Amino acid sequence: MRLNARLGVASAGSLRGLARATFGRGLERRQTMLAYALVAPSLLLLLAVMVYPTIYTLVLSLHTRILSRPALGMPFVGLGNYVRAVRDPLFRDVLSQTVSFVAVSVGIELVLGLGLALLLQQEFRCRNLVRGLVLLPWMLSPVVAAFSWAWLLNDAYGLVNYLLRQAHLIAGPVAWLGTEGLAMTSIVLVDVWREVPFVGVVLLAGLQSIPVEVHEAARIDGASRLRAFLHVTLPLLKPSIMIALLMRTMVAVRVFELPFIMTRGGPGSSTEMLATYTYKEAFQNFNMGYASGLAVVILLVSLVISLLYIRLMYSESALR
Amino acid sequence: MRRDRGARRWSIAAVLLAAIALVAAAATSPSAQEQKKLAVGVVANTSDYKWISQLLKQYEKQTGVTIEESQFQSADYIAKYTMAFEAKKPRFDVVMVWDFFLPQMVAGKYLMPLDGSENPKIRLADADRQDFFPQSLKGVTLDGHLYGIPESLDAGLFYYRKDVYAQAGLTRPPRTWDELVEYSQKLTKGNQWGYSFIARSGYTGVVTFFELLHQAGGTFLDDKGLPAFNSPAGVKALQFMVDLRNKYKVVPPGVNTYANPEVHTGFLNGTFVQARHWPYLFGMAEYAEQWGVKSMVKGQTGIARLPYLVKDVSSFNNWVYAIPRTANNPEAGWELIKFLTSRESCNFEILFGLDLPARKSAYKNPDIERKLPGSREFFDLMYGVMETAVPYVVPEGAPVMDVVGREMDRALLGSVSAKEALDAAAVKTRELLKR
Repeated sequence: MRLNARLGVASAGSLRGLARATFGRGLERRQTMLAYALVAPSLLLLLAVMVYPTIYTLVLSLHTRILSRPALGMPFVGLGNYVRAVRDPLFRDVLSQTVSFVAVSVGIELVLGLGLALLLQQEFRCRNLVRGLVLLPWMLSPVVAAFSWAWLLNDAYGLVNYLLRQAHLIAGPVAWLGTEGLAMTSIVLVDVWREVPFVGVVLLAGLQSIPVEVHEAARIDGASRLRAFLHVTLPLLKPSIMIALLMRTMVAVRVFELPFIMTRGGPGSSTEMLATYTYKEAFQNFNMGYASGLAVVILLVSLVISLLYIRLMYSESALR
Repeated sequence: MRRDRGARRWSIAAVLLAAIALVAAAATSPSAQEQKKLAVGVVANTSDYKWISQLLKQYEKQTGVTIEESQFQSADYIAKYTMAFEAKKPRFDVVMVWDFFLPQMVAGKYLMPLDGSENPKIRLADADRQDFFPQSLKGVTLDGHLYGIPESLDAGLFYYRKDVYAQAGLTRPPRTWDELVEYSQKLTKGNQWGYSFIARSGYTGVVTFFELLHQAGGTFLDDKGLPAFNSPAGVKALQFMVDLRNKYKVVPPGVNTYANPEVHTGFLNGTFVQARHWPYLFGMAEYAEQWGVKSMVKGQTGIARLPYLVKDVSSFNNWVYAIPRTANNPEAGWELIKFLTSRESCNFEILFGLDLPARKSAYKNPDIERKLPGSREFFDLMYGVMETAVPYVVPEGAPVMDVVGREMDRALLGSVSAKEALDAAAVKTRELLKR
């Protein structure tokens, strides 16, 4: 309510009051019915495509269901699949790898995206063209990007090793995707390459919404460029940063194409992520019950992170 | 009066029930129109699809049947099929599957037997059975029933460069593992690697270990169906892979990320002088124009049986056609399979697709030498390899090979010894097979 008032948005309650005062109860009821009727199709669609599968996944996660073992049926196992996940060292590795991937890649993307946004806000020739060009990696399908980078990073005949060798920066071939630490680093870098433009554009939109007068006032008050950035630009950019972080984190938690195409989760299981692990359990191993449990974990992780972000976003400091 | 009203109510109810029954019958039984349609699932990013798509068009022309083709990719077709079988939509009449996945699909009761045991009309004739390589039918026979008809063979072959061999003074391909090491060391220099193979983490990459295991005299599972790959033969096989990468350094360090494209590209562009690969590479290397690829090794491709330690064997797989239990029209699907795997289609497969059919008679076709000069040696070699090949098909294939692949990778990276890796994989495999 306070938020609505601040934003100048009328609440449903105040609209109802206004309608009642103007047209009386009969009309109000008819309008309410009409509103429900208009919303009903979308609501039904949402129920069908979002709520039903989510509930079904939740139910499935409480059962054992192995497609290649139909004789087992679908016995209820309670939280068995979740207990199994907690006890499964591979799942623990996968969870920690996913969290590390999200933290590192989104962190780098935010810093570089902010730099890119500040750069693109400057006046220079062909600015619009450059703004369009920097978006190219993000426009590329993740599948195409993953395949292209897998070839570029090939140890025996990839372009990256060739250029590094020509520049005498490496003596022999580097197995970018075949060595444990390097494989994860490569995936993070490709993700950063693809997603920085997106973060940059979101932050650029935020920068452009900051009134020029605020910067001018800071300058008149004698603030240096750095102080003006830290105490004026950054606080006013906070809502945009939160939106960029929220959207990127949600996608990064579910990262699939890059690890699946570039490494298949290897070497060993060093680049296995929650989404690839869940996919393999469901559609290679036919273990639908356990995979549903993993899917619920992804949902919970995403939910907790989004709630945290939203809370931060609408905290007093964010609105200040 | 009341009786009249009652009678009228009953007659209305009867008419309504009859109408519902009619609608239900119409909805469940395939109409004449539907019988003229076949839903077929194909894996489009395979070498096979090029000629299969031609045959499907030919079948439509010959029979007037409309084929509704759903194209999938090798990375996700099993997921798509499984969802379709579970949801009963689309109701595929025929699906193209890698035989590696058959045990899981058969265990899931997704496929119909094709030996007449369920439907006498759906039965591979004895004469046809005799014409298929016995090994190729072995991989698709589960619990005594036939579940797939092989359409093409994929067996491990040894590829080498004749020109580089001549420069190095090598006169014949290696026959033993020791010779392979010796040759590879001689041929590895600069940007050129002596040898390469598939070893990517996951079920596709374990095929190399599976093959070496059999060459070392081991087996993957014992007679009771329990893991036997952590035997001394298994340790020798995995240690050989590890040594090729880490001790002799004759394969690229990223070999543990290589699937089919990485190996064939490296051979075609001249980076790999020797490679263990599937038969399709021969067509790519020597008939590149027909394949629409670039080959820098045309005219220089040598092929041979794989070097071995104890047993002279290759592993192999078939792409097969199968009929799902959810099929709308299984009998019409069977007719299509018979056409696609007929002698005529197999001849077309060789001559047009440069692919290897599972029928022995196709290899005796006199047109081969006339239309594909220089290919006789290749087809004869393949014929011989198939006589002793071991199908890369095991129960619970994907989860089991996933487990073995992860451990194999750890050994390749030197994190654990070959023995430790295989013992750990055997424990997990036992658990998987127990479920």
